[in-house]
Amino acid sequence: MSQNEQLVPIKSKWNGFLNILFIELNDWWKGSDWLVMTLIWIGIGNGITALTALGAPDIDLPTMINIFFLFLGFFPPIATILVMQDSIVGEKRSGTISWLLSKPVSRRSFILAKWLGNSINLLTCIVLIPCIIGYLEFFLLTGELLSLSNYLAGIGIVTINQLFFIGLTLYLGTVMETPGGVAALPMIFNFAQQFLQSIPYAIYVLPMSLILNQTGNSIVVSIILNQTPFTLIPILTTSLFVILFLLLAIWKFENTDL
Amino acid sequence: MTEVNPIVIETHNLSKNYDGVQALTNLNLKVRKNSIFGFLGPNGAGKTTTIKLLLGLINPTEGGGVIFDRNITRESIQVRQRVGYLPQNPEFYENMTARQILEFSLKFYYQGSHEAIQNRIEEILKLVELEDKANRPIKGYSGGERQRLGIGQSVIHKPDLLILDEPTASLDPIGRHSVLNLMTKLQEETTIFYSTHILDDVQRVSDTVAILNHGKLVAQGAIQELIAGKEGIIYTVKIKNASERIQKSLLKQQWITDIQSEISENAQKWYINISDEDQAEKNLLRLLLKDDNVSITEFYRKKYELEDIFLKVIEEDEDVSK
Repeated sequence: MSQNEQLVPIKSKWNGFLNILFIELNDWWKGSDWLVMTLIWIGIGNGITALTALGAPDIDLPTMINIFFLFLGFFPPIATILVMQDSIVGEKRSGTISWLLSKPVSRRSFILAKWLGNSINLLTCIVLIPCIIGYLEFFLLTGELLSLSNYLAGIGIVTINQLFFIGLTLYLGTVMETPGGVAALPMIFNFAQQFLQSIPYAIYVLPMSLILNQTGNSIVVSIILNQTPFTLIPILTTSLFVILFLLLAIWKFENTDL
Repeated sequence: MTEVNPIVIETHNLSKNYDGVQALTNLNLKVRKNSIFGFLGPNGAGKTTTIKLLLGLINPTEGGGVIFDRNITRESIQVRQRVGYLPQNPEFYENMTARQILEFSLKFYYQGSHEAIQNRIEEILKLVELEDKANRPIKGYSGGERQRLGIGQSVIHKPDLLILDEPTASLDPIGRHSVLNLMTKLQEETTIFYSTHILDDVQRVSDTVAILNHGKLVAQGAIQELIAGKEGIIYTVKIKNASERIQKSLLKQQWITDIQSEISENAQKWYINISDEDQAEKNLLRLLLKDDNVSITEFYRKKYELEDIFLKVIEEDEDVSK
């Protein structure tokens, strides 16, 4: 058929990945989910910081940054877990996963597309937009302009914290069969971290050390303020956990009967 | 014709065990090109397990298979490149429209201009008669519409092999009719392997069948061969005033292999097994009517339905299992 001669068979290994990634992005951005999520975290991160600053005019910039990144580091994993709990399990339960994987797409591509799609969606709304507003907010409230490179490095550190929870819930989605099962462990872990930090040496492996230090500035705040952080090890360990969860999710999913 | 066509699907001792439960045992299947292959079996016989193994959705515990000479486990992606699949209860992203589902499906296989993509989608929408509903979200679709969309997405890339899992199971008679017609149309372009427990459908559209019971293949072959090969040709005769002499004279004929009789409403009912169809057509009735006292109230060649064969094969397998 002449009209179909324009259709060319796809040879690229990445095609299935891009197709699924497109669905993940399209599903999030075409509706109102992204707007609701963004407004919530602007309200929590930027709103609370602004109210605190306006309520206490003598507040200094480091305290404001501490408040902002504490709210943007500690609470957003809850939203991440709630969004991610259904990402794999929902497809398993509805049966769409068998349909999708009957197409010429590898399981690795499926997991990577889910990971990247959800990371882009969540990080943009939870981290990137509030942080951009935060940069302007700090300037407006204090008249001080933060170092852009340091601030971007700070955003990177908060991102790693979120990626930890995205990776963990993604992996658990390949193991568990119910959304509740997926959400329970990361949720408990997120809240338990503040107690776990009191265990000797635990601060070096817990992702919370990136955004909360009970004896001084957290790593993210120190970097933004151009100070020497109390340690850089949690950046490395959390990054390794992110990679580990992704590899585990791929391995588990490739060995699962659907 | 069927015999000369190349083999599309071939499995060797394909087996699957789910945590100690043997779902499929040593399945050896052969499906030839351009056949409509009915894969029969009662619920829980292992039909869906077989289909999932063929598609690489689950891994075999033993044995294996090839589709288009590609290993179903190691080369699953290459296999799926040439296969279209309709799941038993097709589930799609509910907020998407039929048009979006078809576009999404097509883009796993082909790229091209917007116009070329839309043209192919229109062709499929027309084929599955969903043109009017193409832009509505799937969540409002009936079972039949969902099934037709399922078939549409499975053939959008013109696959060489179409695997359908219970394509008519949840449909009303009109929906069933429409899906079976569609399958017949598609046979010209592709090989169709489909599972079902609806025997009427199989007899209507299939040329080859395999019967599965408790995960084991109990019969495989062309439908006509299967039907003819099981009990041979039998003529049923309802006869009055029959003497033993007639029965003896019939049994002298080389082409009559056996006669079984039973009493039925003041008459006898004979089941005459025949080995030569032509001789029976020419001579059987004449031989019966040689005796002037005999009256014949019924005379016909017994016709088998697939259902008879299916039930017999399953019963025999159950007896062997006991």
